[in-house]
Amino acid sequence: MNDSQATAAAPEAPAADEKIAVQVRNLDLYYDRTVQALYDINLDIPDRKVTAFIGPSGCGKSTLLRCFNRMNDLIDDCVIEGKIIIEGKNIQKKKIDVAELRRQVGMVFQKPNPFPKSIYENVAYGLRIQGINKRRVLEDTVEWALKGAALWDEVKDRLQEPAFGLSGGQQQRLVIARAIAVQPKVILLDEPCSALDPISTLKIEELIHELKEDYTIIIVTHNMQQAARVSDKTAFMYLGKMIEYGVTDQIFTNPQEKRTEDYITGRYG
Amino acid sequence: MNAVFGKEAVAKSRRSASFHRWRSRKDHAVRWLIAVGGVGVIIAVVLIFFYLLWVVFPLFLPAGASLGESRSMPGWERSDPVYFSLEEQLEVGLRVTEAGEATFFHIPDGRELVSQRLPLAPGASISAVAKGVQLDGKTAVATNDGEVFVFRHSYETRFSGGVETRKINPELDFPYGRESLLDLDFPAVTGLAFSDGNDAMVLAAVGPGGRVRVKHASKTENLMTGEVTLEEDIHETRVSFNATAVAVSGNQRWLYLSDNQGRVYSFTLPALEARDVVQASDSAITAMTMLLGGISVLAGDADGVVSQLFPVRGEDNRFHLRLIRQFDGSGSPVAHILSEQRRKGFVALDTAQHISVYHSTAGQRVLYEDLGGLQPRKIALAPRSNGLLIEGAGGRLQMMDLDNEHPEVSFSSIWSKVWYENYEEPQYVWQSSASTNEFEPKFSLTPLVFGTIKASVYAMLFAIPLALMGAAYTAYFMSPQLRKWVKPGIEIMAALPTVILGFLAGLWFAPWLEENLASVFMLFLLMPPGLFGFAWGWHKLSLGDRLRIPAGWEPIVLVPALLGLAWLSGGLAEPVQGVFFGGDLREWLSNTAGISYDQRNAMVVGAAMGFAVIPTIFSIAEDAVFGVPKALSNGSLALGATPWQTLVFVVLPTASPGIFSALMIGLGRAVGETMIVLMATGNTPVMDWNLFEGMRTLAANIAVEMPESEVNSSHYRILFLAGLVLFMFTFVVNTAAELIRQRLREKYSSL
Amino acid sequence: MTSFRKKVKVKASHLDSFGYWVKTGAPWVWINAAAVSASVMLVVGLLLLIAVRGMGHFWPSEVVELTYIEDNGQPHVISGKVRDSEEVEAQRLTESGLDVPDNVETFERILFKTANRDVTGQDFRWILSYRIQEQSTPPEMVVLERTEWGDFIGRVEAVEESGKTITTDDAWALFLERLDRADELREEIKELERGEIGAINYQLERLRLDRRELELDGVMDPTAYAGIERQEEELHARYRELEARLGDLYREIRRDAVRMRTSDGEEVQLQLANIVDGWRPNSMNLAQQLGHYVYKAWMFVSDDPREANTEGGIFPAIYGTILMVLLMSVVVAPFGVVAGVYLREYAKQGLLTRTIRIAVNNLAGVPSIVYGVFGLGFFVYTLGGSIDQLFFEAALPSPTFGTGGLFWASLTLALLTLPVVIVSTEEGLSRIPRSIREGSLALGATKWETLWRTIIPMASPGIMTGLILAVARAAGEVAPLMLVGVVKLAPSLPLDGNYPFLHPERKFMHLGFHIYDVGFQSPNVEAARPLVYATALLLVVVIVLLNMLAIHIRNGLREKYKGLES
Repeated sequence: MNDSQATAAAPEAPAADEKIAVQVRNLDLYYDRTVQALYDINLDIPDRKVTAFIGPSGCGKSTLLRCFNRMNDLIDDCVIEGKIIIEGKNIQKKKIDVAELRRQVGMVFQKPNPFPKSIYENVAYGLRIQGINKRRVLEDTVEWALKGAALWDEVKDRLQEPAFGLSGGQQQRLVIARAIAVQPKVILLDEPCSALDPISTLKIEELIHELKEDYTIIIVTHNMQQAARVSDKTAFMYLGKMIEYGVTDQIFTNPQEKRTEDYITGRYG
Repeated sequence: MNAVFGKEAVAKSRRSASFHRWRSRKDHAVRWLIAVGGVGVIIAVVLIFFYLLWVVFPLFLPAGASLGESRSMPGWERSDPVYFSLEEQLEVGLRVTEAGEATFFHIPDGRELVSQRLPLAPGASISAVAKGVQLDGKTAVATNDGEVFVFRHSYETRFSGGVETRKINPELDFPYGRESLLDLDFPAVTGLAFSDGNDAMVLAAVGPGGRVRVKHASKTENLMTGEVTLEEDIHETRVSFNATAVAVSGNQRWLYLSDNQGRVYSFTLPALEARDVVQASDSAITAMTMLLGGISVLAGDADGVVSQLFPVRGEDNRFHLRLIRQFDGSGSPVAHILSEQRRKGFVALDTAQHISVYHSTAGQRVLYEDLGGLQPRKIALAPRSNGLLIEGAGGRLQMMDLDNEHPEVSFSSIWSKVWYENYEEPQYVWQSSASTNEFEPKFSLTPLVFGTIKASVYAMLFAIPLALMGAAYTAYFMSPQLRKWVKPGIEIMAALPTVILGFLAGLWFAPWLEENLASVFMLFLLMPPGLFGFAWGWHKLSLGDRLRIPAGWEPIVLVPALLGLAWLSGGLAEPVQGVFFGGDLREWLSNTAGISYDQRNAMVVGAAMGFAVIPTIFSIAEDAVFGVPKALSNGSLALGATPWQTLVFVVLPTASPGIFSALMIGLGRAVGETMIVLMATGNTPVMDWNLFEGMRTLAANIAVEMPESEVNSSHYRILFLAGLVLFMFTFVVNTAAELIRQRLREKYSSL
Repeated sequence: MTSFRKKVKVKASHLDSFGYWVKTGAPWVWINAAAVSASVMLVVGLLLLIAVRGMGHFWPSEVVELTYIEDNGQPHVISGKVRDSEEVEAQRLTESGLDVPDNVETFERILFKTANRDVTGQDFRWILSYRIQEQSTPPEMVVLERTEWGDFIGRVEAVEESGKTITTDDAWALFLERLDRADELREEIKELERGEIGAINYQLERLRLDRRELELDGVMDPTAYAGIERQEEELHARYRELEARLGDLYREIRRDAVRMRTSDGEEVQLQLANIVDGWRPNSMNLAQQLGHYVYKAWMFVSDDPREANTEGGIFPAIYGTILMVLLMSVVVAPFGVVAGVYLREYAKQGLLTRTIRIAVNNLAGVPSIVYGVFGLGFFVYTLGGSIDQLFFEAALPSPTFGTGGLFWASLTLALLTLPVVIVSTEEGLSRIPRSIREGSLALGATKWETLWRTIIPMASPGIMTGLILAVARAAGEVAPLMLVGVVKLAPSLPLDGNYPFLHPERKFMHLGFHIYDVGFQSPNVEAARPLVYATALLLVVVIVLLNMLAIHIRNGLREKYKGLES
């Protein structure tokens, strides 16, 4: 294990045209103060690209993802050491406004979680919270966000209906629309397609392609094909450690690490 | 593109940073507010327990005493006090000297208020003093020239404004005149006793050589004028022993003498007929006094032990003096015993200058102090027993504050059998109050706890079979459509106000039961075979198939069957009573079987409270049975077990912790239930398992007596203790039940 | 083939045998089923009993006039209403000294409400049906409801005005007319006494306290007292004025009287002032009977009690119950919800929180009388006593807050029902899936915004359920109230027109306690019993409805979040 750390410790030098959206330095994470879940993670995530985290279940990829908008705060006795720098600020600092951070770093979860409100109100929720209540702005933004999430055509006639009425795939796109309505810099996708059928998955994947024009996207996925399809860079994690991180093509075609290769070729996972 | 528009619009209308700061501040404020509110509520809830404890706690605090400042009283060192007393407010004291000088003095500043000479013949001095048993200020005095007279000291309190303007005027008078009431031909009086009641007055004097001279004066009051005339009667006797002390009972019917062999002798009055001799102690009796109420005699001996004796009705239906209990001694001879004026307590002073404060009912010494430094010549006990006035060596006056609020409470007086005055044997009695101070309060919680247990036991006997069998059926056999109605239907009864159940139990069910006692017992007898027969018939005739009633709907079918059985038992009751019980079971019970029957009895309470408990037990037990994973029962069924066998051998054992916790919660509810017991029993604190007699429970007792009890009195605190006992019991039971239930839930989730 | 068939047959008979049937446990299933039936029948029977007895109270039952052979063998005409009847054995009758025919074993005995307590000394008597000779229901029989002495049953002889008989063709119509007038006058008197005179008394009492306060403050300056004296003077003047008016009204109302004749021929003169209502049940048609029924039921809930609560209405008890429950809800709702939110959302979910949760849960099982003990000791004596010392010194030694009252009762019940609200709030919150919280937080909402905009609205049905259950519990609870401020007859309502309008220190009446008091403490239980049933019915209906509402909301809630939970 120690040798793997050595290779992963030095992050790849960023390409010249790449701006860094998220910098992770020496990140350790413990549950219950004692159980270590992440070991010394170092990572530079490029701006306006799709970065995928892959690895067997329980390897810590979701945990790492949840560090980026401090969702781990919700878990008692979760201790994080190290630095995560977004927009030049270390978000681990105490005085960071967590709400503001989360507005900038949106998140979409494994299972669609619309609120028990209308479609319209679901998308407008994030804006209302920020004190934006002008009807015109809300309407325009809702339309824009729904279009951005490729859902507008399907729901434009029933915006006031409960969001529960939508299909699973629609709900997930609604949740994405809800996330982009507040215009984050980064969108975190935590296995967004695991609960969806193949057609819906395809739609989401297309959507991710479109979204990376405007947003930095970090996606955790189980599905290696999906990672290969949608991401620009891929990080392979194993047992809480970052094993390999690089351009997706290279990871999938020419992995540097034996364990990465084993995983990709399906020897375990 | 629209997209651009939306983006810009949002950017434009985005609020300033201060708005976001405000949001975050609001979030913090609310976090604090909720935390404070939440913790506050939890503290408030915990407060209940601590408040109850705080009120109860003083009951178990030991008594305390503290000495005040001492003051030298001019002239006191030159005269010997024979009588010493103080009034209620601890402001005015009275000192009578051997020479007959009676002086009222102001205690806080030592000033002399009024001084008066008792009507002693010139040159005579006082040789004996006896406080009246009634402790009303009347005191008898015997002089060395053979005269006996009675004086009375009283205090009039006046207010000209607020409390601070209080003025106390002492007064001394002679209710029976200034003449001698009893002439003695033995001037050296060794003992004097005095008892003055509504019907008679008794003066008893003991002289050397065992001479006892008693004056008994019956009083007759003229109803028209209110004038009292005395019918006098003087008796004399000579006893063969060396009489060390004398006492007369409060009802003027007994004379007690003691000797130096530790014996107490009783004589009837006015005839002076010797009755009993009781060996009260091993050493000489040195002092004797009547306890408040004039029933018990307290005899202190040369070892400092105080014995309590009182007359008890014997098998010959006459009263005989009995030794009731003895109190810890100090080791030195008892010099004086002072009875408290408002309670059954007393203070003993021994010759080695120790004082001990006792309480008779509690059977305990609550305070023991060494007054060696003061060398008390005379002590007086305050009427409220909150202070002792001490005249020390050299005429020094000193006040000793007594903090002795609850001497009547001891472990034994609350939980054990106590031999109360006028009782033939030690008993558990709850009888907290009466009209006079002289009454001995009886604070035994045992009969109340017993009543509580009895009520709950009968309630559980009624509720458990119905609730548990009903729960098992509803959860395991009943069709889902029916269950949807039955479960909430029974559960809603938990919300029914118990005052209504109590009212129906007391006013409708109790008289009805008395009328139909035989029918009810008949129903209990007929039910099992009747149901069995019905079920067999149903099965044999395949009625379920014929009437298209699927399994799971049996309860509907049984409704007419049960009604039929009830009707049948009503009809059979009459002839059965006629044959076996002489026509009427109710009469037979009281007349032939000798079982007393109260209309509002344990059976009524059991049914009513059982009814109240059924929904609680039913609901929780049903949940437990219903929650048993289907995989378990399916496994059993697949092995060929019948549904009933599956229920008994697989489902119920799995659900048993839940059922157990249901029973405990039901028990907790029954124990604390108030209104039903209050209304459906006679509320008499008897200790008897008889199904046809009532009881008084802790909860009902609180409801009955709490509003009338005086704040911070022992009674009040004991009622709080009863509340605390209920609180702790239900809390512990419920916690245990809850923990069991949680563990069960975990077990289910892992199955 | 044959052997096979035989085998089946044997098997079938074996399956059919009694022994096998018992072994399968089928009979035990039946016995268990019987337990369910019995429980349900008890529940239904109880509700029916209350309903039937409670609802029958207002029906204008017919008045029977009959000739009855008294014990001395003389016929005697009596009239009244049949209340109950039962079979008694001859033996019991002879034992109680009655002379009955020998050859009969049981007799029918009728509980007959003869009313006219002032004339005969009793309201009820038992009569033996075999001794009834003639029986009729004369249409002219009148039942009068009076302010004292209970009902009167008899015939209207004549109406009198100022002692002179007025002769008309239809004495009944005239009586009704005059009764209306008396009613109006009575209403006016009541308004005057309760309203204006009550207000004057109230103000006088306040002035007395003001004066006492000045005295306590040691104010000697007579000018300070002059103002009070002037006001007192004014009030006394007003009072005298009103008293004069009241006197006039009393004279007016005493003008009319009615002469009644009882069935056995005795003539009684009754002041109309003392008659509340009169009707002729035997000449009523169904519509009139229904009208009468509704009217009486309305009077029952809207009128004041009379005759030591055994007659009249229960309005003050309803009023007191509602007011107390409202006051309690105002306290318990915010605190209960805040505590629930704290425990579920803010407190660290460790051992301590779990312990607290169990403890709070268990407080719901602590006997209510214990809360009463606590309320009396802590609220009334400790808190109330201190408040009196600090703010109401002038009124001492008569306590203001240092005695049981509406406020302390509400607080005690709030404490009692707090666990219910906390538990159901927590339950409501715990039902909401984590993903909803995360979704909101991930959009940049603060914790409070998440709670306020999403979680609490979703949990609100659960919280409502808890509140309704709390209200239902409080409305039916009696034991603790007996210690902290409920009384059998409150002189004034705790909410009235006198400043400051709400008087939380006052004692109040309560439906549950009313049942206890009238049923068990009243001297004339037999006469009061129908009223107790009616009160019980009202209470049961309210509480059952509240509980059904709570169950309904809870079920709705479960349906709603079924999709979310999976």
